[in-house]
Amino acid sequence: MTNRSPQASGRRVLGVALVAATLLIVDQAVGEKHTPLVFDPEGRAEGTFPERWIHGSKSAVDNTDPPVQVHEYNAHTFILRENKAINYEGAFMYLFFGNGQVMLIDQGSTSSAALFPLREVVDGVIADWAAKHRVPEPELIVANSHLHGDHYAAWNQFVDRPNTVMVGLTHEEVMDFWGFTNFPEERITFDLGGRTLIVTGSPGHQGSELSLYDPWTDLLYTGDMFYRGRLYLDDWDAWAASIKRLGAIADEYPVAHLINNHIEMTTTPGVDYPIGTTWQPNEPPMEMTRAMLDVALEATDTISKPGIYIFDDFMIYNEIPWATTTDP
Amino acid sequence: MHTDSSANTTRRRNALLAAIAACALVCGDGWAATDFNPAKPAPGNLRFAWIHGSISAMHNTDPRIQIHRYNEHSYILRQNPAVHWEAPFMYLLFGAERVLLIDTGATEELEYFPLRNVVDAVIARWTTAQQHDTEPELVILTTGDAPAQTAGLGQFTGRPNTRIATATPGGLPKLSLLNAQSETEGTLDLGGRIIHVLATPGTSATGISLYDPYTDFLFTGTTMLPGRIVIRDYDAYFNSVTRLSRFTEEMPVAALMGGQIDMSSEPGVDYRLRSNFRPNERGLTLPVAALKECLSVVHLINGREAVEVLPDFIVMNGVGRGYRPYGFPMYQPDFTRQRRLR
Repeated sequence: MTNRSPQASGRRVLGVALVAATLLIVDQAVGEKHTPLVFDPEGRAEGTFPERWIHGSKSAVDNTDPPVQVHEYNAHTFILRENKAINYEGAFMYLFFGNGQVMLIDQGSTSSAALFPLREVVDGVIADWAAKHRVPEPELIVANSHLHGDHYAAWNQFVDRPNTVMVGLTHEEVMDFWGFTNFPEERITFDLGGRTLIVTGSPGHQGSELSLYDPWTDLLYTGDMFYRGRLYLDDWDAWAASIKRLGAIADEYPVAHLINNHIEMTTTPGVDYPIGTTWQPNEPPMEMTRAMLDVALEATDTISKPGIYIFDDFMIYNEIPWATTTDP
Repeated sequence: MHTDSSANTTRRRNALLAAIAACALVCGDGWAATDFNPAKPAPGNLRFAWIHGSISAMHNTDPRIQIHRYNEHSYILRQNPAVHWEAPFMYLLFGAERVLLIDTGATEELEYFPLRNVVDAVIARWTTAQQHDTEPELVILTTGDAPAQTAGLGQFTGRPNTRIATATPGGLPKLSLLNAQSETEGTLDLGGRIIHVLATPGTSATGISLYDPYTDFLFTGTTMLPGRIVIRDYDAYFNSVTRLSRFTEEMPVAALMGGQIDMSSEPGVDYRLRSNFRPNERGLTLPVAALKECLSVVHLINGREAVEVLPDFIVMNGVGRGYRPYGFPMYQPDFTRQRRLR
């Protein structure tokens, strides 16, 4: 026989593939214990955002989405969103995995586990992640971007969780945990099991607010101080300084996206979904760009008085009573 | 013309039977008929809490429309805040021949907000209970042009035995049944129950208020309610409140029934816009004195931009309805923190 039959050739390829797969599995099973995950700050670990987030429904009681949407940005980064039919804030929460540690940033706007089973969802994500990477479940750090009730409501669900560090809900506990001695100017380098995070203070919306840069994914997390929506500021000077600090980070490090806590704008520039909206069919993406941060940087030079300042991608509510809206 | 004597006899017998039946009907109505203009207002029950949404709207288990039988001939409907945060009230008033639906809720879709089905069911039950052979004619009026008052109107398109009034800016709605006494006042006879209709523009160009001499309720829509009264036309509103205030001197008014509730049980403190969970809502009824109070506040506002917070309602002029007079990080007036007996 001079020509091999295609079937024989196929079997051969299949055989090679099987051996390779077996080797890979063995390698993973044995190797993972000795070779920790590497989060190289050089280069960029890419990720994806969903086409659309869950965004409520016209009649909230008729909503059929899950209470918490879980989105895998990449293998070690998860973004969660609370259903707007449970709480209109539709807050985002984040899970950053490192070796032996995982950090949950923010716990949504609803305390009841029956209504908003965040603990169950987070436990599930962690268990799946550990199984997938064949490692024991990492220790959970329950942290917060800032100390407002729409971001720590389900904190209580984690207090009895084993293998968990609760950062705490007071300014002092937050400062102690991150090791701030000169808040907010200081830049802290936090090691999350080999995944280095750069943390800086960013008050202005709330006095204990933090922002966070992840050199592995090049994501800059800006919490509630900068997102596509109404930036309620009770301390303009602090916010302006915080935005400048974020600008400095974005100058020094490559930034893939700015990620944050809410979406309140519509796809029409300068038009928002007013506070309390439980159905946002025309939401822009959650992630923001460096160019938008530049607009905010420019605004820090031009704004000096209390008032509502409208930009294409966000609004500045400078010392305006909370829940004031532009409803006609 | 040839007439058959037996046919004649049959016809005569039929006529006699019809007369007896008619007599029975009249007599029957005689003992069953309701006095729709009693010396004292017809009693009813309002001592309960309305459905008021839930922490998570998605998990809400209340009916989409709460039906409250105030008395046999008067029903109050409330839209579930978990379906639409405005949670407006609607009223169904029965007379011997017609039934009046005041306002139609905040949601168009029958699937989410089955107002048509609820109204049909209440009418059917009432007809059966009253032992009427035919259902009363349905007349629909809206007390203003806000979406929270008119959204459900479409559900009644094509309903047989139904008249939908056409709202008219500044004047009385167009409705052939309406017996107009002037350009801004008229009466609507539901069959013994004679509803007074007053044009009360100000918060809404097509605003009207309705008085029912059976319950002695004055239905004021958005013109007067335990919540944020957003004046769109100051002069028109001033005139409307003046007229309503005078009307309460001419007629016995037991209470003002508004279109929605924004206030909490805490005097002066309201639930913000789009709040779909109101666990400590203020009651629906306002005392007649509220009109006088409102009039004096409106008088003092004198056309300027103002937000006046009173214990039972908030009067806003020249600002959007999203404006808030207090709240973090601004100074919160002391009175909003004090507990008071109501």
